[in-house]
Amino acid sequence: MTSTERLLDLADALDEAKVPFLVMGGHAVRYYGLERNTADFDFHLSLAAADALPERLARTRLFQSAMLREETTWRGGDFRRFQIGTLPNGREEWMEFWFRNHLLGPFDELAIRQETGWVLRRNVPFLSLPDLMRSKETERNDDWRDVAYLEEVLDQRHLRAVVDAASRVHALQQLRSRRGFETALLQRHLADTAAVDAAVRLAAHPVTLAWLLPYASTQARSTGAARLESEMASALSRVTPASPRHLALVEAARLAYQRAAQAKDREDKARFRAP
Amino acid sequence: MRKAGAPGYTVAMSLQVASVIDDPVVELLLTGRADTAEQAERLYLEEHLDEVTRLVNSSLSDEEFRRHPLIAILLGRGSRGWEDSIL
Repeated sequence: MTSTERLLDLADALDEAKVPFLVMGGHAVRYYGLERNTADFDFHLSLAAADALPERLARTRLFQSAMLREETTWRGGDFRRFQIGTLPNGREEWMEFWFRNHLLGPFDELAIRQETGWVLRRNVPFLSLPDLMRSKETERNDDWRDVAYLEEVLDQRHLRAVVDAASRVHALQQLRSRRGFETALLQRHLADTAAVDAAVRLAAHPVTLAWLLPYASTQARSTGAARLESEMASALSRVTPASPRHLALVEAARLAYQRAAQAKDREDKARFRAP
Repeated sequence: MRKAGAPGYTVAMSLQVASVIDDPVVELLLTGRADTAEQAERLYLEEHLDEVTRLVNSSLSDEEFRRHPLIAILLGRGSRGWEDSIL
């Protein structure tokens, strides 16, 4: 049985146990296009679903006969994990559930934004692409490699969907990857100052602002600059768009964001790990 | 062929060593502060990230700017462009 077929069996069991879920982790990354060899199955559930979860799972057809061994975790009630088997290569197979996570909002909010995709024989609810990216803003460098890839996917999706002024602003206000930036440049979206200005006013991410500021009007630039560190904002207002200096500032903004997020994640983990 | 001890050998070797030591990543490896090139690059970037804006504001030409070790590593490890993208 492939790991994808196994995922579907677990999805069937969760449905049978009447536990609403969203697939996250390696299988969600695979769904969005990056091949992942993973023996773990990660799901996001609501806090309410934590009640009697092992009992509800044990009553499903799959787990009446299959292994379901819960292991205590250091995250207390926020995270639970169950060993569900051992692969032929000796590696343990784990099903993991997040109920609460400092990187993500509550389940109901995530469920509204979910993406449902057809996988082999059934529909599977996945964490939306932006939420999946957010869930990977951890202390682990491997997760940031996934973020870098997922940013490219998100940009390409948005840029392919540009048909009018509103969709152009929508794509620009979330621009993150260099590949997305190069596409936006080729498709002349960055030459539309009105769209760039609107996107700057809406953009929340410092990397997006760093891509857009050199293309914005003076007025929009000052609005966007207020959301950046002052030295960075001032340098961005002087660089030639798409020059090596502009690219370097974007990457510096990206690295500073990553550093801050990693520190925040370490802090969160330390809170739980402290004796 | 120039042999050890021959005039000029020591000078040539010293220049070679000096140019290797000039490389901040190699220096981090040789001084044992990093075990791998990946780790050394990451450490170098973390310790010098604040210098990027100073270099951006400097009078370096675009070519000199791009060749500066901090900028070369920053751009090399940053987001991929079209040519390097795995999509």
